[in-house]
Amino acid sequence: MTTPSEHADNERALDALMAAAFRAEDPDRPVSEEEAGRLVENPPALSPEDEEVLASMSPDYVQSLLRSARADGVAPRFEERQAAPDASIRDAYAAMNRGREGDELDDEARREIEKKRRELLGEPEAGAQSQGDEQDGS
Amino acid sequence: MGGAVTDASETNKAARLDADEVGILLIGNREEQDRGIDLIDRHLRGVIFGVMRGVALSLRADELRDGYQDVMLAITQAAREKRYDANQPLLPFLFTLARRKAIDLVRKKTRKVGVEQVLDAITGALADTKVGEAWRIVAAKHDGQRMLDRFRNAVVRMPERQRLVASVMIDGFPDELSLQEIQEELHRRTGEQLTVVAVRSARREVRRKIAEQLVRAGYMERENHDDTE
Repeated sequence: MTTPSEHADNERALDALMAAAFRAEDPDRPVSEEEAGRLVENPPALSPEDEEVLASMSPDYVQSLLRSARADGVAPRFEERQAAPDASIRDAYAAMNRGREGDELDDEARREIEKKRRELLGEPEAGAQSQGDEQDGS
Repeated sequence: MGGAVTDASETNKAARLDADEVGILLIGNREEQDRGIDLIDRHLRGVIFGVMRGVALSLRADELRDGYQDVMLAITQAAREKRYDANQPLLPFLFTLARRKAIDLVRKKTRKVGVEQVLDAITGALADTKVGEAWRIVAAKHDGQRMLDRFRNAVVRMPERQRLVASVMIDGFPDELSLQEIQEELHRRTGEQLTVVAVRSARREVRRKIAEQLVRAGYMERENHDDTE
């Protein structure tokens, strides 16, 4: 039988693992080609509500929005956004090329975070991983 | 098939998408750009939704759709204004953009401490616990990433109330929020006024479902305790 104190500690530990699933990585990091490939092969889970919204969207959803915006302003959100300068493209490229403007984390901080993340997950160091891959011939 | 883009056949469609070809279309004339945008929309909509959901647990599904619109518009704008760089691999760029868009939407709703502090707190919370003991086996077997994916999927698939409670707990970590604090934060985010009993019930289910992932994977036995919460 687990004591109430042990039970509370275990609940806290479960909360920590749940937090790890969503917050153990720098969310601003760029998506690597390897990760992108994994995402396409094995798409992340969606909530039931997400599935419903997806199912309600027509196959040519974006084209319809673009056509509507051009024709008669039926898609105000698109028009509104088109009128405003969008820095997201520049930011995404900058993230992929590192050295972002206004970046809160320097390279050393990123390395430290990655080290801690790997320790938590029991993953080998990046160099060790690639050496192993080479030895595997993969 | 009504836009249902998350089943296995659509996953295969996504895999068949020729990203290089789409990248070339995006630097072409307007008609070619439209074709490229359409291919991305048709083949990758579900994946982009999933990428965004993975970092934006607290967003409603309609907010996620708005975020998706923003991503697609940003790509369209970039193509129109000749700012799309075909030398960059399309998919990493697209998913990086999607994740950043989703994070921007979430940051309007939540405040979070840095990743390093979170990692330290996770390690601290796992110490000297049965759950931590199970996690050490997970790590020793280099199964950490797979288990985190399982936790993530379990949370994303929870009924809305549980998922929202989970999102408040996750965003609040390393603080351990009281039931009243979770209740207040949920009210702030959604306008919905849940009872403390409902919040407690949802939180219990959230924790049970996370523990269940460890149990099902064979890393832990079900806990037997006197639930006097």
